[in-house]
Amino acid sequence: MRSFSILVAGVGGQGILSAARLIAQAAANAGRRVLVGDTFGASQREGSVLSVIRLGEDARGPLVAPGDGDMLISFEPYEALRRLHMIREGGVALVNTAPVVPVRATLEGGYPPLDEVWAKLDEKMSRVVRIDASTSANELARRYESRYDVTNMVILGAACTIPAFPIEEDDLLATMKERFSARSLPMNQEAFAAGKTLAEEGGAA
Amino acid sequence: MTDKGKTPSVTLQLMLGNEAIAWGAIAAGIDFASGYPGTPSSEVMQTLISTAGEYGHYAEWSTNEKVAVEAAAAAAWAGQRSIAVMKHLGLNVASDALTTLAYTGVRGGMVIFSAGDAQCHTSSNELDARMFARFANLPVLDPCDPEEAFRFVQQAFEISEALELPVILNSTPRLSHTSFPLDVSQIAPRPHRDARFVEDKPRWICVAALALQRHRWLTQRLGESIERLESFPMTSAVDGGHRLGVLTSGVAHNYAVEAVQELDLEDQVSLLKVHLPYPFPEEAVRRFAEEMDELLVIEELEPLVEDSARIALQKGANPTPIRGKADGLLPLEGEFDRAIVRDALARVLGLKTAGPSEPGERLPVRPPLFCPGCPHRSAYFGLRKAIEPLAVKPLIVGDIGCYTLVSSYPFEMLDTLLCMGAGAGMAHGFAQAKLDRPVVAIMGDSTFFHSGLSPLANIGYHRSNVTVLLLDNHYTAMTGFQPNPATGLSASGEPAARLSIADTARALGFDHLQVADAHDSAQVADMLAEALAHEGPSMVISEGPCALQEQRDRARRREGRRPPVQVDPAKCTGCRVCVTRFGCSAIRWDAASGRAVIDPARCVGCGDCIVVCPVGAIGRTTP
Repeated sequence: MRSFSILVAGVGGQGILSAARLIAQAAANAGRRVLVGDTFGASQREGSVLSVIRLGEDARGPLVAPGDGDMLISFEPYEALRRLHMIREGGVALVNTAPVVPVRATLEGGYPPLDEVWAKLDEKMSRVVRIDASTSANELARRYESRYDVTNMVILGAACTIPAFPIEEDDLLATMKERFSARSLPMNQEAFAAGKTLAEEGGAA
Repeated sequence: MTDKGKTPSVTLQLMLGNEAIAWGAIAAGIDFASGYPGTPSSEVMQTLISTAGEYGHYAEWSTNEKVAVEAAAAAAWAGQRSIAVMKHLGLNVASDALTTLAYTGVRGGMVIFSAGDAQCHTSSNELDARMFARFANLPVLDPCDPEEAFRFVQQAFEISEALELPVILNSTPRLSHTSFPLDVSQIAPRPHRDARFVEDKPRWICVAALALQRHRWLTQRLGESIERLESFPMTSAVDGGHRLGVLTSGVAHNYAVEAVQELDLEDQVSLLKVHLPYPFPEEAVRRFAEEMDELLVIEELEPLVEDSARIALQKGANPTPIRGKADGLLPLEGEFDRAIVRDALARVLGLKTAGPSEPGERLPVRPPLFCPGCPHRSAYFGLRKAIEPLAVKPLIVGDIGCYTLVSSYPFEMLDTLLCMGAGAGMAHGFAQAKLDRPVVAIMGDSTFFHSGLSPLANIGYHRSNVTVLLLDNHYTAMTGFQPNPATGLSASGEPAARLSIADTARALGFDHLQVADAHDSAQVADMLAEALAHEGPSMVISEGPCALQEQRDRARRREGRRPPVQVDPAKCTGCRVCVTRFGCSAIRWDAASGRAVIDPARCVGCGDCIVVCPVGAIGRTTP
């Protein structure tokens, strides 16, 4: 039996490590063998972040080799491109469409146009789901007058609509109930539901 | 976002390798824990601090790793079980204490946890702590995953007490920062022990002839280690074919298991994982080698197992060839993954490999930035303002902390960086070597107490012409906001003594010393200009709490966010000063309008950028 590897990518501060831990805890609660390897370094300060979730009895190492990943969940389009070589041909991708371009790159034109990003993803992946999770999360933060960014929960909600995503929606929701305080749970649940709706309504934005 | 500290209803809790190590130490009944923060080690102490009340052990952030080792050694000399926690570079700081501790040994079990950094993810070198263990003649355990680490730390205390020696537990980011579900609800910690010092002057006074006797004791003790550790498994084998025997150590073992499976080599290859790379289990390796046509050693960084296996086989007159690093098959640098290990296996066995994999996109990297609201950014804006008018540009000598980011965009002002405390130490050397430029040393509050005091005293003692910019943000921020002597809080957040950096520095000879508000870049600039004009030691302390910590504190006090500041597009001339010279990640350049824009979701309302705008286009009210 081979393993199933999910790469969760993005920029420091987006809640990537928390999202990956939630996915993995949900898998563990369901009695599955899972391990998560994090690469973050100085990531709280806007660096690239990667969490690798490996499911299955054969998963041993926390790192995957290029082309090993089965699913890419990226909180940022350019980070999806940065990690694309780690995913196998015909894998699936879920990508937040809101770019975080370093100021320096905006001055120097260092990042390619988003069209090129989507073209490269579409060429290699069997399915690419695109959602604008950041706008939903910002709206929720305003409405709840919260300093928290719930982009990660919007993305998890969207992930549950993708058949290849190997975690049950009920397991994720139950794990959220365990991990969040009564005060923060409603906002996170609402973000999760918003992500589901976004993905179900086409996800090709 | 997730909330910390909630008890889950399930027993299988996803745990970082570092958390597993802390729980292993709790299960072993530790009495005493001390450490200094450093990525990727910090979560071990954080877990031990948060559990100290419930499990009854003592836990502290010490001022540096040497102090942490000395404190933990004292507890172990008094018969308690202790752990000292640090990153691999801290092992160097602690080495004076550790190398002599090998001569004296310990009474209670003592473990030194060292989290290494193969690949230099967040460190200035990738020193292999297993080699430090051999250098110091201390046993070292090398677990490969959180599950093993949880068991090994408990065994490390048993080994320490069996040999009466401190034991090093080695880790890498791929163990420390790998999470795995573990059940620690059933642990039954050993009972605590009272501290009792048993006088033994020839042992506890390690000097001259007595020290030589203890060296002989150490050699003898290591020679007996195999018998004394009989009950402890020093290796574990995965039996397969005998064409190739693969020796592994640490996390590289995982990649070897996966690569053997991927290449379908179970009937050709057997594995022997070396749990204890020093002292080396020679007999077990010889027995393994006798059954194999050839050996391949898979370990990250230094060839400790490989060299030791060569010695073991030579002693047994066993001619089995050994492949690995000596023949260039595997690199000495960086971390491994399954592809690297798979390709090495394939080359040894003459198999075709898949060929080079598709290269990744060459996107510009994301350099880490100062956070919005960071007091350092404003202070450095002041530093640049102070040195720009000078005819000769000062040399900026760096140190380790968040403030090291002055090396990158948009400041790019740093000239050197070596190690903790080296900023002041080297600034003094440059000054005394009569460098043809003024010298500025930068240093943070935690580094001040860690390894800054001695080099600053050296500057004061020699009246060196050095200006120190001391960036005091009250926390050891880079590694996760740990408190230090400048904070006024203990490790567990209780009120503690708050030591005055200014008073200490004055006592060390910095009589020209001023304290600036870090968020007032003009004040920082004026004070630095005066300090640079002063002949002899001078210091400007730029004072302001870490922005992330400040936001946490505001949230705890249920204070809302400060309103964001805004750019008035009618006033903005598009000069880009706020973007190219201040570089707050909340300020974006909008190419379409040719104006700067502040992202209200990122802005924390510190207002530091208001004075940066030369035309007054940035302000607090809606334009």
